Amino acid sequence: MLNVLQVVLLFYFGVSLWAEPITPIPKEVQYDHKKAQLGKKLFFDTRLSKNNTISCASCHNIYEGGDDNLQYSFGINAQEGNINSPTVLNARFNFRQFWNGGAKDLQAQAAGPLQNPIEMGNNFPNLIKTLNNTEYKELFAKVYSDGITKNNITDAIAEYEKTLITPNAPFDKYLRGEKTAINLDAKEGYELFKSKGCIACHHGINIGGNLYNKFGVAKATHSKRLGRYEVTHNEDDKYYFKVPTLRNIAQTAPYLHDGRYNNLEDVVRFMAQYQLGRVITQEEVEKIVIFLKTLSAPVKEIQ
Amino acid sequence: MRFSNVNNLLWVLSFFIFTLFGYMVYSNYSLDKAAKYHNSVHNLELYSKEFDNFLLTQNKFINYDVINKKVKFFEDNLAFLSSQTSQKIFPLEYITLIQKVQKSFSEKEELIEHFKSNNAQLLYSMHYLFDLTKAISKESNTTIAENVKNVELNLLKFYINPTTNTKNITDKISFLESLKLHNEALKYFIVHSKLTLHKIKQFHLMKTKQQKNTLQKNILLLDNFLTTYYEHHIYVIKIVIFFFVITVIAIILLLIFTNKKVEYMAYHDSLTKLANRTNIELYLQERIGKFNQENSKIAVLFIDLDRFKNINDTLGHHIGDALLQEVATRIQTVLAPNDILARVGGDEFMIISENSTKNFRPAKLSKEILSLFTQPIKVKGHTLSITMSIGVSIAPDDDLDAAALLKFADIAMYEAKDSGKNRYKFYKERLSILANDRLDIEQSLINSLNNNEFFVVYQPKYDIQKRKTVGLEALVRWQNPKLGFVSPEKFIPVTEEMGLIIELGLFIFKQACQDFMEFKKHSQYLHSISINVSAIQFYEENFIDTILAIIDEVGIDISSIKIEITETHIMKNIEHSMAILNQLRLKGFEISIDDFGTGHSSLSYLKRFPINELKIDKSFVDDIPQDKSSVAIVDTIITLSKHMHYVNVAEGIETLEQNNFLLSLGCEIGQGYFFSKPLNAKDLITFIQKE
Repeated sequence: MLNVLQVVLLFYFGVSLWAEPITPIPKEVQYDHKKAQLGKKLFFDTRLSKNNTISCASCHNIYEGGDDNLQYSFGINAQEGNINSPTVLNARFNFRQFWNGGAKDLQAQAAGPLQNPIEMGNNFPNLIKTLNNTEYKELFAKVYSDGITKNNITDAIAEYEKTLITPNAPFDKYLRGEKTAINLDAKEGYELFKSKGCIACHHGINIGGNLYNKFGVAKATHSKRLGRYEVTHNEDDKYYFKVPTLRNIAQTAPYLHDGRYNNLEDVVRFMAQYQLGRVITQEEVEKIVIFLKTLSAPVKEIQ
Repeated sequence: MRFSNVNNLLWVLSFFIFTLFGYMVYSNYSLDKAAKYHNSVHNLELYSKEFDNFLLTQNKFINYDVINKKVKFFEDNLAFLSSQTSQKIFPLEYITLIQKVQKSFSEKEELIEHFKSNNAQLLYSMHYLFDLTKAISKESNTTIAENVKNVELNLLKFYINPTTNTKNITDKISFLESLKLHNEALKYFIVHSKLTLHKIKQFHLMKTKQQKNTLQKNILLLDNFLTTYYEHHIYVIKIVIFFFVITVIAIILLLIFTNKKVEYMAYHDSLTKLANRTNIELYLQERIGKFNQENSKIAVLFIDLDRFKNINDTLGHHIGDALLQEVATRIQTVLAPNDILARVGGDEFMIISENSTKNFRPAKLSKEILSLFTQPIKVKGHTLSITMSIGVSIAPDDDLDAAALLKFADIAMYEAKDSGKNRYKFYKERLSILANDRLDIEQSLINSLNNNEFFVVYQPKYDIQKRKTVGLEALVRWQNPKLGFVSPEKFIPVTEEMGLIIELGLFIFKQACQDFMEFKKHSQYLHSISINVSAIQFYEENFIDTILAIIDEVGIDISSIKIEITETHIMKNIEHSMAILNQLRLKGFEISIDDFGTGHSSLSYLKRFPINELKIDKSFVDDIPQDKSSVAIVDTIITLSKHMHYVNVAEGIETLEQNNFLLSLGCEIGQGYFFSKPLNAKDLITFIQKE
């Protein structure tokens, strides 16, 4: 029997309840091949850092979930960072970059770690000078008419990162109609994922990366970082972080922006309690974790 | 307009058109850009409306992918628009507008983000309320279940209609709280009801903020700005295109005009605006080509002004030009509509008159033209009397070739001139007269000598310094009973052809010698008699012997006889002439060269000839002292004569002015009407007795 609330909910949210709120990752994406090749070389090149020790790939291992599996990453001179490195995989589908949304797109993001003193510790004038004395001078000239510039370096890296997608996860196959791609527990886990309310934040093509939400809606989480407030300095934005993607979540432990949990069950339980403010049983947690594990797929390598 | 001016104008117009074209290309480029900006602004407008829609309906979106994409598109379009500010295509106002849009957009973006977070929280709260209500309904406590449903209902009312009083909800929640809570589900229900109420309130707060947002308004301002700019540009472009077209037309017209002008110049005389020679020759050819012999005739009138050269030389070219214009104007008054008048030379005009045989009237036309100038012409304060000589040739009678017709008309004109000017002559008439004359002359000549029809007249040769008649030139005249007086120019050539000249020459020679002996008795100054000898006589074997015999018979002193021979004759056979002249000179004759200056004589030969006297041709004397070249020639001949110790004689002196001028040049002897015309023996005796 449907009560009044259910009717109204269906009326107001109804369309979304029936339509799948999660969409599969496309099998192919468009990108500029020349730029991507150049970007790939840069991505794996430690010469981008001040002392030639750190490359982008140091913290974003594209073969192991796109992050470094550390609570906090290490920069040059073994300096420890203060935030968990998010995955670079499928980052193109995020509506903003960084935990606090401080970069509007991948190109803007690429300039961040490069100049962060505790990450790569470099600066662009220096980097351009360095690269101009290497094979990059010729490589850039082939792609960009104006040679090596800040814009061109970040553009190339961003172009490469746009290619880093993980299509064909079992759950995507399931969404595309392959009913046996995931097992019954995973299917039940997905239903729970929706009915518990996780879907309200983790939805869309990237199952997250679509909005900011408060870290600790129902209970205080004692976070050291202030999230979006660090960018806007608006009191309303305190503890609002970008909702992270759940794609390849099984490979990207530790979890949350401060890497406070190492396994999925703990973080699912934490989310139910602190975000949704509701009770969740062990059985439900396990089923949701089974579902989450169906979101992993290998990265599609460019030719 | 002069050609150089036309060319300059063309250059200026070309430059102008080039500039206009450049501006058009630039404007077109600007318009293209403006169109792109416009398109971007339209996108902004579209997305902005969707943002509002998203915020106002605050619901159906559980998947934010769509709205995120729209935010991205909006940002891209805005980035494109603001990137143009650096290119300075638009005025400063544009930058201000863009900045306003950027500011209101960042506010809007904040709202959207807050809405998204709030909406997600509200959504899962409502889900949870739904689960909790179900769980509570399953329990038997109806009071609790009723109140829970009541809270739910009121929350929904408030959600849908923000004006609903929220006191009812808070009261009910307080009531539920007051119940002794043993139920876990109820405890959560109360917490989430409060949370949901709070979220709904925040939604309504956002709606108020949303209404204050000026994004849409700023985009409209930007849109208006671009529309105005765009329209202004189109207006300017229209003007530019207008000028472009006008310039193109101007250039085309100018080119046509220039071409016509060139054509006109090629076929027209610039002074009188009449057709020129080229034009009229082409016209004549064309007319002859279409000639219809049965019905029509074409007359070519060749008109030459008499003594025009004098007017030009004495009064100046500007008077001469004005006179020519007046002549052209007058002649045109008597022309028929079909007649064409052309100026074919300095003072030469030509008329092509084509008419049917019935009213063909070249003679009448010629008479009319001549009568036009019986009244003197007043030109710039000068009253000028002008006459003209007209030659007429007629197609098809004379010929059917244009060049021949022109030549014939020219010949006829000279005939008219020779006949005393101020008259017209037909080519055909002249030809027939000549032909008849020749026949008559030949016939009449046969017995003329025997009939004593020839007689000799004498023209004095006057020493212009001593003012005395010092010599005579013997000239032959022929008075035929049938032909009347015939001029020597006409009959001498015939006698030369007939061989009669030998006999005639001897007659003149003898007569002149006899008469001279008589004249000498009346004048102490007279010491020479000049006798003209034809080249034909030179070839006569016994020529010298014969004349020596006459001299013996008459008893005249050889040295007083001057043999005059024309320069032209000598130059025809130099070696033979020289031999004869040397012999004559050896015998004691004096040698005089007649018509000197007209026969292409070579000075080197001149030196070798045994000459005593040079006679300057009348044609040079006619033109002194006005004509510089004639003066130079006469001066040179006089100087030459003095150096070579020749006597110089100026022929054809007609005026005191000529006489005085020649005197000043050092001329010795003159001959002409100014002193005396040729006289018969009786009159001459009277003339020399008077001296």
